[in-house]
Amino acid sequence: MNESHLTDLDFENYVYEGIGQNKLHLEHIQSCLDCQAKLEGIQNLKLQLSLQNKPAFSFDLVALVMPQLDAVSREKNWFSIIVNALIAISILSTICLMIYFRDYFSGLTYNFGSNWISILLIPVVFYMVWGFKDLIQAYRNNLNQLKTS
Amino acid sequence: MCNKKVNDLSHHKVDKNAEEYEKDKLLVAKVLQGDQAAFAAIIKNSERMTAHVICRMIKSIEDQKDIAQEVYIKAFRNLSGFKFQSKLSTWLCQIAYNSCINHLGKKKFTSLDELIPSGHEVHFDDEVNSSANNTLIPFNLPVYPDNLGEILAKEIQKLPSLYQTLIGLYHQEELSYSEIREITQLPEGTVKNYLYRARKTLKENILLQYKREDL
Repeated sequence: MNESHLTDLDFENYVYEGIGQNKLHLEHIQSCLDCQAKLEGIQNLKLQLSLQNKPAFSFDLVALVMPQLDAVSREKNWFSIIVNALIAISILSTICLMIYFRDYFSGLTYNFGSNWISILLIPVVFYMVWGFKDLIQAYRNNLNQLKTS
Repeated sequence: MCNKKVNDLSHHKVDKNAEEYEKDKLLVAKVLQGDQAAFAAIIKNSERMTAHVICRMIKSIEDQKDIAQEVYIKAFRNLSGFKFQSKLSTWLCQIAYNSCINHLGKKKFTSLDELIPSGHEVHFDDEVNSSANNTLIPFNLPVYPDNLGEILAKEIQKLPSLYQTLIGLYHQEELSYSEIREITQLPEGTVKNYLYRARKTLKENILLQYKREDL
């Protein structure tokens, strides 16, 4: 039989981690009244910790937050529209500049042959379709909000 | 037989998590489609968890109000970016924890220092090594009596705010170490160490209390 008492950490591991339940520890606990009492105390402490009153807000959080959501939604929609518009304008103006200075750029893009503008246009078209989809989504969200309010 | 019981419990927890995940996913999708009532449901489902963090770390009711609102407005703004890599409640708790830390940092008084008392920056492994060779508390401990709950409530209030939060999340909300790590961004070993120290402080204080009462 294991004569030495379990350490604090052995008890912690035994009760909270589910580890350290080796044969020697178990044998010792079964035969040692001191360790049994201590184990019971720690298990009781664990139980009491889980039974403690849970903290709660002393105010109605839903009532505080909900009225602010409309303003946040509008702000969010405008922000995404402005960002999308800025990106679209910058892409379009870059393409215009590239077309205007095509002699200079054709030297840089000779590997793509004469199709370099269409290669650039593909991601732009994708981006525009994506942005348009977002815009429709934002419009539908606004409609939903009007319906629910 | 015992193993079967443990397996049943863990299966129950997995089922519960999967159910919660599906429910959260549905609510988030609804909010992103413009249904604000779904966001009210998210608040109701998660406010108990965020209260654990906010109420334990911030004592003024007015500040609690401001931070709780800030947390949910931030979440509403960034909901489209939430990728379900963690539970929604864990993500909200993480925002709450960061907001509390920022708030305490802005108010330049001792609150931030009170989060973790000095001398507690010990890693769990060090703790294992240091206490492996000695028994820290004498063995003639009483089995805690009936009014332990009340005494415990008082003693928890005396702990540093971070310890209180960790005790709440681990023991009352039954979060795992990894979930607490996600919320607090503390290493898992540090979370274990703080919890160990918090419980040790509680045990020692409760024993002192009984000794005083015996006198």
